[in-house]
Amino acid sequence: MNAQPVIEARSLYRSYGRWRKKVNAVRNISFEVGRGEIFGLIGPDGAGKTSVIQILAGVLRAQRGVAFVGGSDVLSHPEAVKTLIGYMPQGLGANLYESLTVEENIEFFRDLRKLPDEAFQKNRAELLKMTRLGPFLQRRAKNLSGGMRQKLALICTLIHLPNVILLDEPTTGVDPISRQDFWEIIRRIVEERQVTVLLSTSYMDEAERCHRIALIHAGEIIAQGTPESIVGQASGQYATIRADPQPAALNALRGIKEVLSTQVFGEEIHIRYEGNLEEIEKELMRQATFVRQSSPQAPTLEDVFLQLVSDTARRSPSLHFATAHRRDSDFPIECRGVVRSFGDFVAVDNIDLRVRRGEIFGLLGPNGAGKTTLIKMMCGLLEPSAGTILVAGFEVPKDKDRATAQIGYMSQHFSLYRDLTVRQNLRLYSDLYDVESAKFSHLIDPLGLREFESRLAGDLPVGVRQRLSLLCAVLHAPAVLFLDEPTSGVDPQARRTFWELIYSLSRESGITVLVSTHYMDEANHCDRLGLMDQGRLIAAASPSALKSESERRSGRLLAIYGSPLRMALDALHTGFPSATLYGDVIHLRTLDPQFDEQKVLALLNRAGIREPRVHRVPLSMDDTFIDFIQTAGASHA
Amino acid sequence: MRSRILAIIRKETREVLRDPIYLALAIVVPVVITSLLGLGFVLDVKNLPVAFYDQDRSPLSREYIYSFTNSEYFRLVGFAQDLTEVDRMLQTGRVRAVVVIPPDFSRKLHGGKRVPVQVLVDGSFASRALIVSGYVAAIDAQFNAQLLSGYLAQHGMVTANMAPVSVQGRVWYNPSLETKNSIVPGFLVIMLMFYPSLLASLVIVREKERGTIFNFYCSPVARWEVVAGKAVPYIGLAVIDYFLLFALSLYAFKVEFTGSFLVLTAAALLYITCCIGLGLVISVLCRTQIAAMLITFVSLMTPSMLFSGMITPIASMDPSAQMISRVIPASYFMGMARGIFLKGLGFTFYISDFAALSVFAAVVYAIAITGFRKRLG
Repeated sequence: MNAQPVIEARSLYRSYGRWRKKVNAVRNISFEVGRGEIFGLIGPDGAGKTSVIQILAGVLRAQRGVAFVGGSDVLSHPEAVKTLIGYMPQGLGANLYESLTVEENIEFFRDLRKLPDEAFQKNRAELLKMTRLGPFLQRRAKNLSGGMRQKLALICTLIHLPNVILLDEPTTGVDPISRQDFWEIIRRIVEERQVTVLLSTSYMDEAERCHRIALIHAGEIIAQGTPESIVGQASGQYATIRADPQPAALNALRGIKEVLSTQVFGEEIHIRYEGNLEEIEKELMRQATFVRQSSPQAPTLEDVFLQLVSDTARRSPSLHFATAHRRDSDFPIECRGVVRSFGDFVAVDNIDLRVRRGEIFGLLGPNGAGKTTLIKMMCGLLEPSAGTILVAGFEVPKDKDRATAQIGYMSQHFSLYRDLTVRQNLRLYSDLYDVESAKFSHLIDPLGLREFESRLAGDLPVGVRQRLSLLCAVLHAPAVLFLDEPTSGVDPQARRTFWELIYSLSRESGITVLVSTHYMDEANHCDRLGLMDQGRLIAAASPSALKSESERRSGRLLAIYGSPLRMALDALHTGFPSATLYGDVIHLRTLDPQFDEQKVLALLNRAGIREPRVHRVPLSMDDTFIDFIQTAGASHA
Repeated sequence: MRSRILAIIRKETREVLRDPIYLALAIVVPVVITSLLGLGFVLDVKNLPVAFYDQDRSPLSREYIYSFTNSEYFRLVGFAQDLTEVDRMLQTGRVRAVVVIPPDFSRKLHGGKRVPVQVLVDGSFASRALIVSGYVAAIDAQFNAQLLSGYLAQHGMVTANMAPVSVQGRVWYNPSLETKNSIVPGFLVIMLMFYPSLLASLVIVREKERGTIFNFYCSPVARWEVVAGKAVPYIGLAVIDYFLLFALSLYAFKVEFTGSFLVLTAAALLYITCCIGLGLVISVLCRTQIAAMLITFVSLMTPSMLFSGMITPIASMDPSAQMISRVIPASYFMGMARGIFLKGLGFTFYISDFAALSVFAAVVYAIAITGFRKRLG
């Protein structure tokens, strides 16, 4: 890195509110970003990411500390900084004017920055080409899809060729293809003009796109460095186990001293352990579970995050329901040829879907893919334009009243009454559903709500709120539980507890769970995933089956390292035009990994690249999804 | 070099023109409301329904009744047959007054004695009852004078100087004493305060709610550029309002306009600038559109309605109300608008009002600009 950092934050503090309500949003945060670097602030909602970015953008005062951007002191001369930066606020296209067209929006930003015409025309043409928004210049911003909005927002942020770019959660809720475009634009401008990028994200899997990252938790940086070096801080070993029957295996694993933590991802159990994996395997076999597969695994960033935040062993919750009488059906959720259109727009396009009893099924797709419309129809809130939906054996919306008693729903937004206490909220919900409190009082302890019973719901930490919402959704022992982005933006630890609860509901009480999400992290927890794109269900299978199908069709993923990276990429392009840069790594899909690994190494060696390395890496859910969208698009067109 | 103000003006104008609700609120609503209020808000008391209980039924009592029904102030509804019917007529509101003529009306008059005539007035609206009593007294006095002159003529006396002092009332500026002539220009003043300032009060806070405000916070744009760029399109919109309302008063309500259109327009422009500025101050200080709207209602609209002299003349308010009226721009423009409409007074007469509004505008915009912080919190 250059000697003079472009962004420099030293011991920043910021708190909101006073006295008892005081919240320390930013606590002693220090970092530097050099010219031409992409620096990621990674952490859950409420960790302080937005506050840090706003301080550096000169719109939020820090109470203590020093901040420099491009050599100017942000805290004493915020206006000087504003000529240097491009800032994109959080939210899909939050800086756009809805009633203006794409072109008018771009021109407004040009005029705000008094950009000379020549530079404007050149930059505009380039950005429009990269974002593929050229054909939509006359369309109003409000009629753009989520991904297009976000790309237009990026154009508006970059139109005046800023040297420093501050992006607040630029990719949240954006479809995977637009997200890929997005990262490609960032990478190109960094490469071509050596601009400096500071961005925040709550997606841990985006860390690899950054040169360096900082993990933020509760207003503090808990780790900082290259993604590789942070993952390297993980202690202990990690492994993936597939065993039958899974609940018994999970129980057995929790009883083994060497196993430090367990988490279920669909049919896989991820463990952190000490000592010997074979010993653990033997122990499992002894307890009458059949281990189909067990393999050591590299830790992920999230594992490191969890270790750094808290290293204590945690109790395992278990939720038992006196399951109410219900019409027995093996497939509590069934959709046949379901269509829903709004005028000309088809939001849900001919969906066939069956979810097994006790299954955790995920609907994965970007904002606007049709997930919410589909769930609303399943809950009987919206009538399908065509097709039949059966929930717990009842047809909705025809038999809506009887179906409703079998449905639990937890929305993405906290929908309980903030000015009631936990106990009062529970009382209200149990009265609404006509449930006696004896039926659920035993759930208060396993959910860890006992100590919060007399607190106002509005004052609870996010994770606790979520568990309260969950309890309110399942009070009446429903057969089917709908979860709408249940853990988006929640910190990994709370997310983990939450998923353990969901797992227990599904495996022990036989509740069928349907989750809608645009978070790949959440998708991995599901037994089966339905990939949704533009109203269509383009695939439905277990996460691992989806990944292997993509690998079979489009090839294995190779991660290629070497230095200098730029030369390595040029060398590879002579043989593999599809090789792409991904942070500090080159990615390449291949149908013949054995042969191509050798070919890659040969190309790199011939170009004189230092330390060339090639690894086969597992496909991310994101890559898998993109592959399916592209295949579906090709067959659809 | 590109101008930021022009860019902001262009953007704001496009946004307003493309929002049907805003446009309706800015242009259609004020015209509709003024039309409705102009038709309904008439304080003149005319054609009052009246009934008579004539117990005398003589030529003289009929003459007395004619003297009422021949005026434009009373309209004959019917005759009561007994006192219970009188009661019922007043109770049901069919009539507002009943005149009870005693049985010996003509006998006593011919005998040169005083006759008591009872007039029963519905007092549920005090001001109307007062006016009715006034009319009755006037008509009665006229009848008496007629009787007296007849009596004197009969006895061969000169009648020329019967009433040595006679009041010859002439009402200036509004000769026909029609309330519309003062009410409609009043509405012009109030409407220009209501809707333009309401729209202006949302214009910055809306961007705060949407998040687009960061475009201004995080760019080198100056604070005065933002405030001016936001104000100009809305001032333009309010000027269109002014022209429409002015045409409405002249051509639909046929309000007399005796003054200079140029002076009135200049005054209106200055007044509108103040109103938009007040809206912007609210917009700069609030965080949500709801708060901005409520504050506009309470702090701008209500005082303008009550203290501008729209209903009660400022001179007849108590001192504390007069203090309030002095700090709201509507009072100044109310005086100017009515004066120019009805009295035809020129610019020189209103120099002090122009000066007051100019000072007001300067202060309001200074507050809006300094209050607009390019920061959160």
